[in-house]
Amino acid sequence: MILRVGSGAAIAVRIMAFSALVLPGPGIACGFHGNPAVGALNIAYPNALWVRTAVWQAQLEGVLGRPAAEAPSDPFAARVALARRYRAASDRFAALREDLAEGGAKHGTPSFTVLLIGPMLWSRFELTGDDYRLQVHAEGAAPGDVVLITDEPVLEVLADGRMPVSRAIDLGLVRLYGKPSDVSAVTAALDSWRPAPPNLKRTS
Amino acid sequence: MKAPSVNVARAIAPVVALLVLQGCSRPPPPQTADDKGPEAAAATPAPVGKAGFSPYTARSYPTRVYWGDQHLHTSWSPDAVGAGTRVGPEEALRFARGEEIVSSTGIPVKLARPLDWLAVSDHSDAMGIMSEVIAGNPKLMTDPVLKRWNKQMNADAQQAYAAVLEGIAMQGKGQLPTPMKDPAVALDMWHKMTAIMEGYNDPGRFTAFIAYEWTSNYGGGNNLHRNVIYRDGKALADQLSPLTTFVSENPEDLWKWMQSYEQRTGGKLLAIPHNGNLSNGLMFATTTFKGDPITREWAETRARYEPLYEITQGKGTSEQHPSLAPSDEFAQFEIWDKGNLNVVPKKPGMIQFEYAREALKNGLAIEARVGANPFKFGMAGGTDNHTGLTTAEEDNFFGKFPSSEPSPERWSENAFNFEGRTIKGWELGASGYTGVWATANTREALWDAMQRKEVYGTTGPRITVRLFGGFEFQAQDARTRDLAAVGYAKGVPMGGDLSRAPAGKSPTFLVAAMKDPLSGNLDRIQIVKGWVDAKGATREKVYDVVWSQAERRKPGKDGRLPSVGNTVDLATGTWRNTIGDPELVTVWKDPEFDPAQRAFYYARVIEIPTPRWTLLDSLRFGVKMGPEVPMTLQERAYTSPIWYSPS
Repeated sequence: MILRVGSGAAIAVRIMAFSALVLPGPGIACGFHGNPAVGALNIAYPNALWVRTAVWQAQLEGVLGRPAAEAPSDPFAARVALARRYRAASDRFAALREDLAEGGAKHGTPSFTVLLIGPMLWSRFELTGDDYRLQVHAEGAAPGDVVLITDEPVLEVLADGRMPVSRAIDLGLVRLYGKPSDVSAVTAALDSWRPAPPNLKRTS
Repeated sequence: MKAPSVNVARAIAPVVALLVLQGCSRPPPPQTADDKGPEAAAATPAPVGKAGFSPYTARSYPTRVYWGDQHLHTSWSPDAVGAGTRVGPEEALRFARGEEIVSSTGIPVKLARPLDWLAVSDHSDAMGIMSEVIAGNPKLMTDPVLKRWNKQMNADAQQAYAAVLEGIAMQGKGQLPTPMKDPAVALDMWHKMTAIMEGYNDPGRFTAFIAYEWTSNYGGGNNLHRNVIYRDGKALADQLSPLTTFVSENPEDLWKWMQSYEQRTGGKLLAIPHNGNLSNGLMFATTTFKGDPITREWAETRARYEPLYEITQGKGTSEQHPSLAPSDEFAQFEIWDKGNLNVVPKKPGMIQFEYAREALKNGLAIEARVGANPFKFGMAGGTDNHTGLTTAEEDNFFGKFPSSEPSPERWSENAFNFEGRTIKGWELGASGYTGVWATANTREALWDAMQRKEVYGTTGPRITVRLFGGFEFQAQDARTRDLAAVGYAKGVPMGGDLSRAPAGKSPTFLVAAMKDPLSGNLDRIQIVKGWVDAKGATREKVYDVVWSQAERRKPGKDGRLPSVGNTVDLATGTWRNTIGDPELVTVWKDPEFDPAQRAFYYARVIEIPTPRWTLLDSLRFGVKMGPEVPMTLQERAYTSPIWYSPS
């Protein structure tokens, strides 16, 4: 008997209740849409669940911002809040794709997939020629991808330029999986990512 | 209600001697002219002769309680590994022995005090099978699906993840590839498991029981699980593969399997049923599994193979449901009564066949009818944690699955979610352990104590408690220095039997408890009596037999004791032992005894209120929990009963 358990899954379960109404994209691999099987991550990606612990510990220590107040109890308000979170994550991934392309970090960098472990949102950065093709809400990683596991609060500080990726890795906020040489290449590429602070962001 | 029969303070010194443990103590009580005190009550030394000098040389009774967990899962349980548990049996044993390890979510963890023994009771269904798939066990590779999984798991993480998810889905549908149910494969895994247990079993220091959980979810989540505990070592245990529910979900078949094992090997087994609150009325049904009337043979078989019952664990406590005992003010404790293991809602009439006290009463009634008591069990506690971490203390609670390991959100997340029917994380309990009064820390001595029911369950704290029953205990027996010597000399310990009361005599009970040095003081000791009256109806009554601060706490007109109070500071998560007493002891005589009526008696020891893990989490993580979440609790211990029979 397998129990469907909580953890990051709880967010996903709440989200999936309305996700079909508000979210684009295919698949059931994302917890925004279905069973996230968070636990299985810890087997295939050893110690993936350590990221969750590192995140709350960093929040308690003030390294990361504390989570917002409790999710609204009103179902509609909750849906709106979750949709906003999804949009924010999508925007940050889009900015990352753009910056990576502009920075030329793609040279020698393999494709990689980011998993936000809270909502179990997989997003793939596929190297196509001299650019990356971004698929937010992918079904999962493709064979050979480097997999980067992190969570929403970490993506936020990375995207805002408040923390370099190398620091996040040191703190256990990001864990990478793949061939060592590929992991090194992705790490180097991401560490060169120097997004502008929020107050200097260009508008689009 | 009965007033305390022995002054609490006067009794402290003999209790310390009885329990043979270090503990808190108070200054010696003042003595009066007619009170010669406990020292004077000690036995007069006998002249030195053939018996030698030491009074302890011929002592054969247990003088120590050994603490352990009879119910722990590791990454070898399929549901645990599917939930992300990476702590295996070896790490679980090292942790129980007192070593620091790292949890599956990356948190260093260590017990406050080592345990004395552990039964790793992983599910027998597909036990440890995942590692065999990865390793490419030839018996599994005959199946194309398993062969593909093997390739995927040895390819890269993405493919491994897909294989794990596929396996979880297939298991959830009961569609695991046939070789995964192959007894020969199971036997391979079993041999590896018993080898681990053998390696960590250290007679005299730490006992690693060979054990497994037979996991019947008959009818869709009706929990009829049993932990099977071996008295034996690897040589015998290896001869038979554990019974799985691939073979049968009928507990009667488990007893047959146990009998078969014993006949074939000469070994010994006992089974401890999972707490019954998730069985939807089946754990203590008063019929056989197929609904037939219980026979004497059936009752004797069950009583023989199931001498203990798991009265408390992380998924709630199953002593007594408050709806079945409205006058029992302590029955509302860590109750899970929504449904079964799949949270299928209960129907009226189910609860009465799920709780220990009701079962003990029904057992008496069945015994009167068929000549044997099928529910003649003692009390055990366990965690049933699926983390490999036997944590049962409120300030060190690591949850049931990795998802309920410490985090700011674990209290509000779903601990279980079956098609939208949920149990919240805060409902999990940090419980419990089993105390065993044994003569040595060995498999044989501990198992023998379990079989004779000289054990008790606690909700986590290591409260020490003794219970003796007889017909000759006197008040002064509670003041003797070697109280256990008196207990064994004049009566039987918990788990024992009394019969044929002498004319004019009522059962008397010598009961003593000492606090856990790391936990709260004691509020009171109660004796819970159940019996069958002259009309054949089952009855129960809870007596406060000795309580703390007796000089100021007197029963009211309704017979109830005033509350002991509550010193828990919700702002800091601390409490003070300024209420309660560190030790309690008394001799109690049943005031309503009828020698013609079958009865049982067990002791329930209640602590003063202390912080629940939820309060400590709220402070550690700075989260505000809802009003439905309890913040304090009164931990407790439940002794095994002593039975009285008129014949």
